[in-house]
Amino acid sequence: MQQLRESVESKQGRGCLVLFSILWLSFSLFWTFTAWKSGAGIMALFGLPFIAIGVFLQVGGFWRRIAGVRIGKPKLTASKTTLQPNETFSVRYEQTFRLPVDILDSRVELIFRETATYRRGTDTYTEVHEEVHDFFEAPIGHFNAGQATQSEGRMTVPRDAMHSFKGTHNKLQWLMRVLVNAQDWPDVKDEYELTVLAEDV
Amino acid sequence: MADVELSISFLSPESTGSVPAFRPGEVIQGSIQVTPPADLNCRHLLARLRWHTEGRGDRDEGVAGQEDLFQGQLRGGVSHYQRFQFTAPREPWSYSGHYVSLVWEVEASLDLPLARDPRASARFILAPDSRR
Repeated sequence: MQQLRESVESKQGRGCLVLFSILWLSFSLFWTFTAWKSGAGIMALFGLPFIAIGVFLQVGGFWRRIAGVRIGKPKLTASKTTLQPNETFSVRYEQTFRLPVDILDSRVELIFRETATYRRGTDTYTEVHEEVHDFFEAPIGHFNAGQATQSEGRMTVPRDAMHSFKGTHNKLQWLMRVLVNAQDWPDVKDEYELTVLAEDV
Repeated sequence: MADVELSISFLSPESTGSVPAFRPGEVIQGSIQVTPPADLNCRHLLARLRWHTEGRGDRDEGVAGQEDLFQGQLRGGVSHYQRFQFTAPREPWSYSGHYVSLVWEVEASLDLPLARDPRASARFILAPDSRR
C-alpha cells in the first residue's frame, strides 16, 4: 500500500487565499485607521465593510487549520497510485479525532476533474468541472478525543476513462477526495492526485 | 490570383461518425492534394501531425510529427498528390469534455516565397477501442 500525499493545488489554493487576505486586511486596516486618525469618521466607517471582507477571507484561508483542531489529518493509502482505465484498486482511509466531534457524513470519492484556465485582459480565470465516479462511506457518529476510525473500499477507474493530462492551461486529473462533514465545525475536504496512464484495456 | 486548393484525405480509416479514427500506435496514412491556379515555386509542402485543446481554457498545443513532402515547381491547374504517413502517438487521446476538448489533426502547409502560406487541416480521432 502507498500513502497518498495531499495534492499541491489543494495546498497552494489555501496558501494563496491566506496571502491575499493578509494583504487585503492590512491595507483595509491601515486605510480605515488613517481615515479615523485624520478626523474623517464617516470615511472610516466606509472602511469597515472592507475589514469585514478581509476577516472573512482570513477565516476561509485558515478554514482547514480550524477544522484540524478537532479532526486530524486524514491518512489515505492505496494499493496503486498509477493506474490504467478499468483498473480496480483498494483504498484504506484512517481518521483520527483530536477533540470530541459529531461526524454527519464522511466519504472517500474518486473524481475526474477538468480545469480550464484562461486570461481576459490582465485577469486570469479558472473553470472547473468535476464528476464523481466512485466512492465509499466511512463511519459517522460521535467520536471522542483520541479516537480513530478506519475504513476500506475498492474503487474502479472506468473502462472508457480519459488518461491524466496536464497542459499549461488545461488539465484533466484523477483525484481521491476525502470529505468529512462535522456538526457545527468546518468540513475537511482534502484531495490526493492519482495518475491514470494512457493504456488501452 | 486565386487561392491554392489544398485538401487532405485519409487512407482507409475507420471512422467514428464522419471523423476518421485511429488507435495509438497505428499508422496514419493519407494524401494531400495541391492544385495551384498558376505555376508555383514550392519551397516546402509540409504535413504536420498535431494536437490542440479547445474549450474554455487558453490553447495548449503540441506537434507529434512533421514531414517535408515536396520541394520544387508545381504546375498551374494540375492537381498534385503527395502521400504522408505518421505513426499515431500513444497520447494524448482525443477528448471532448465539459470545459476541455483535445483535438488531433493533420495540417498541410505550403511554404511559398513572398506569399501567404496556404494551409489546410483535417481532424481525426486518436483513441483506443475502449473510448470509441
